[in-house]
Amino acid sequence: MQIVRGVRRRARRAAGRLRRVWRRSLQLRVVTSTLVISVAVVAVLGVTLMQQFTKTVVEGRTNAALTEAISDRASIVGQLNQPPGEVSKPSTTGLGDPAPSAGDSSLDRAAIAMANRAGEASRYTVIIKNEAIPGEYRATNEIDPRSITADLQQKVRDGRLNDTQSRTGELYYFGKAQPEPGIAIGVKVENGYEIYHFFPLTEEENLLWSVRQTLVGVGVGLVVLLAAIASLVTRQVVTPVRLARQAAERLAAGQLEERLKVRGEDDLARLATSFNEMAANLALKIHQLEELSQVQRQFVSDVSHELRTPLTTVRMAADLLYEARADFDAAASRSAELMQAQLERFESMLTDLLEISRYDAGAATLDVDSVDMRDVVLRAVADSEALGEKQGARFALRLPSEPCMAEVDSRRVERILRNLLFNAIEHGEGKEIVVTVGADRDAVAVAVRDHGVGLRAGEENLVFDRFWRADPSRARTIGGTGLGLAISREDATLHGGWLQAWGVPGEGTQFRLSLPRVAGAELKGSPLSLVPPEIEMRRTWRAHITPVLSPATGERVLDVTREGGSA
Amino acid sequence: MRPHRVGAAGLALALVWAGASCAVIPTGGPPVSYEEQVQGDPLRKPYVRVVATEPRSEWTPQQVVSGFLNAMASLDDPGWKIARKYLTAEAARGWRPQVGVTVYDKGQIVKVPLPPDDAMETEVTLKGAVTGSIDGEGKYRARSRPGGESNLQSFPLIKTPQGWRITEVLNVLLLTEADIRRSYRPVKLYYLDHLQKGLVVDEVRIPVDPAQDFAESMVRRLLDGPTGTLKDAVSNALPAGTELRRVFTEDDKIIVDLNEAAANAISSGARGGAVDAMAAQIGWTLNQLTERWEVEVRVNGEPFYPDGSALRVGFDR
Repeated sequence: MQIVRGVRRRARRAAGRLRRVWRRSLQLRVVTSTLVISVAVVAVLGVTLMQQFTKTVVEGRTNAALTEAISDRASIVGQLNQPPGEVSKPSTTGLGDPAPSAGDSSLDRAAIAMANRAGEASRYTVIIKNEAIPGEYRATNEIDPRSITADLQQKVRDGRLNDTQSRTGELYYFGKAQPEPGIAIGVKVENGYEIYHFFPLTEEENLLWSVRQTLVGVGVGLVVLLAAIASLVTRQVVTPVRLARQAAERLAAGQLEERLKVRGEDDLARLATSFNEMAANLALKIHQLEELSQVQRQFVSDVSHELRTPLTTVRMAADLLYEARADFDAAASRSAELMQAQLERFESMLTDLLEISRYDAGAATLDVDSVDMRDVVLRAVADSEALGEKQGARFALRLPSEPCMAEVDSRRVERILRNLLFNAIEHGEGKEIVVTVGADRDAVAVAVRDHGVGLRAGEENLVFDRFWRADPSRARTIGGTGLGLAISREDATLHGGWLQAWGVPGEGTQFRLSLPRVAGAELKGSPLSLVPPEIEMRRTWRAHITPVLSPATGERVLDVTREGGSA
Repeated sequence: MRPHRVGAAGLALALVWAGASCAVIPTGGPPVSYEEQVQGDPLRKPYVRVVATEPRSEWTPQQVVSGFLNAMASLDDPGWKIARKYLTAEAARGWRPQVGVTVYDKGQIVKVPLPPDDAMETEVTLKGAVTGSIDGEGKYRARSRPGGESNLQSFPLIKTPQGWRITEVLNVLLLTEADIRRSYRPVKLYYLDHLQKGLVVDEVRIPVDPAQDFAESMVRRLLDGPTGTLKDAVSNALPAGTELRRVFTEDDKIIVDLNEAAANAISSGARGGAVDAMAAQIGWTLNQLTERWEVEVRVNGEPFYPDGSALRVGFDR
């Protein structure tokens, strides 16, 4: 059983390999189709030729045989009508040709005349018979009466007098086990006699056989030649195409200086020229874009830096005003408070901009240290608790009992968690916020779940875009910069981890951060599921009970405008 | 790819056309001299056979007897299976026609009125003059004083559901002179005289068997040895146990292929005399078929002598 399975698996694998080779090789396909077509053409041609040739040869022989048989018939009829005992020719030779003598019946004489006419070479044999008279049945040489087929006999009997019937078929001879091809010609003459002539077609068969051998040889040679030509010509076309493909692959891999060799002026040379032009233009454009983005990044970085100095001065002045606000009238005092708050926000935004421009410049580095993820989570939650209380949000922590050690940059991870918590507080509508920590052998994960309005389909990735918001008209309530999630994702990526979002309108949002335990290791999976377990359970349960109501579409129909999107 | 395929098809057509043009018979060219060869195959002389027909239920007693006489003359089936169908089952079992042949001439079935429809048995008489006989060894003995026409044999017949059948028949073949001329060829077999110096003729009649060449029949009969009349006076140089494998023609030669026992002739006799005698016997016997062909004796398809040289019996051509 196992052997059978193994064989089947191996056969399947071989078939798969074959199919892959077939699909990948243009040359193989062209050669195969050329082979198939040329085999068909050669076969049709050969069969037609052979049929024509056979027909001509057999027809020619049949016509000659018919002429001979008809001339024999007259002589036999003459002999049969002659009364016996009127032959004057004496018997001379003892063992030579049979000679008629006086005592022979007319039938014997006719048969002897036929035997002698056919000659020593035995060109043909004759049977004369009369079923109405007992014993009137003569054959010459070795011809076996089985050679008279039933249909020929029937046709001769039913036919008119002297109506010659011929038929190609098998002739049987005494002393030969196998029948030979030949022509049988039958005719009915007076007094109920039937005359059958048998002409062997052995020579014609040999001729046709040798012709067929030649035709088969030529056909096979032709097909092989055609396949070789097809292979050669395809090679000439396929080789440059293959080179172009390799060049395109290298180009796609980023080697923008890749170029093709141009040889001659044919179609393929023109293809190579166009390819090279395309590559050059592409390289130029990419270079320009790179420069442009470099300039932009530099600009952002410079602007942020330049803004810092005047901001510090403004901040100091604003601080003075803010501290002295008790002396102002109500309106001026309110203005000083507002200015203070907005300046704080401006400052943090500037910090974020600087941070992100550092990422863009590729200047961000990790300061890896082995820490317990539970401590990191607890610190971040403690930092956010004040804000949470202000918004009326409660935190629920689900931490594992044993330590979750991981090699991470705790400052950055803390920032990610702070951003996630901040985001959850902002969109959680004062409901419970669940923070879960999970770990397995290779990875640790933190999930932050709120029960706010959730995310619409397709927004799971948009939330990480810079300055993205679900509803552009809505103002940021608690002063997020719009860059927090973008920075968080950059931080996660820097760790070789993932930061992903899940959200359903009305159900809330969950962000999951997954990090490898060892710095630099590749992350293969996360210990926590992206979709909260209770939602997953309900979904399968609902799908199980009423499979008609698709939960996904139902949730989309229930969609209410979600306000806000990112921190 | 397209132009290439069209080109290939054109190439194929050109090849076929070239091949076709080769097959046309050339109409020019110088005259070519022709070297005359021996015409025909002496082993395949034309001859005529009687084919036995099975009796029919509607035949009269006379027709049944006439058919039986013809069936006896047929050599197509060695066991006379068809001839036996003319006999009742009992008579067919006991019939031993191999004993000999009685030759008669001017045979005639005595015409008697047809028996009435309800007759269950009748008798048909064959009249004729006995001219000779052939014994089991093939020796033909002519009746020294030809007798007049007399009743040769009476065939008692009974009516069976299949038609009339002969109930009693002699253990001998009744053949006419014409049958003998047609089917029993006189052949001279050559044997050594008692001095081992010359050849003696032993003339026999050999039936023409369509299943084998007549030359093979001749050599087989030669191997069987001389007839009783000459048995004590002549000797056979062909070693005992020799059998014929085949007789055929090759390059204007008649090849007689014997089995390995023929090679014993080399060691027997004085100074290879036995080999010469054996070759002479075969050569002279086959010489009756053709006077122009050479005869070669082989052993199991190989040349006769162990050193590879052939044993040939030549005739002046």
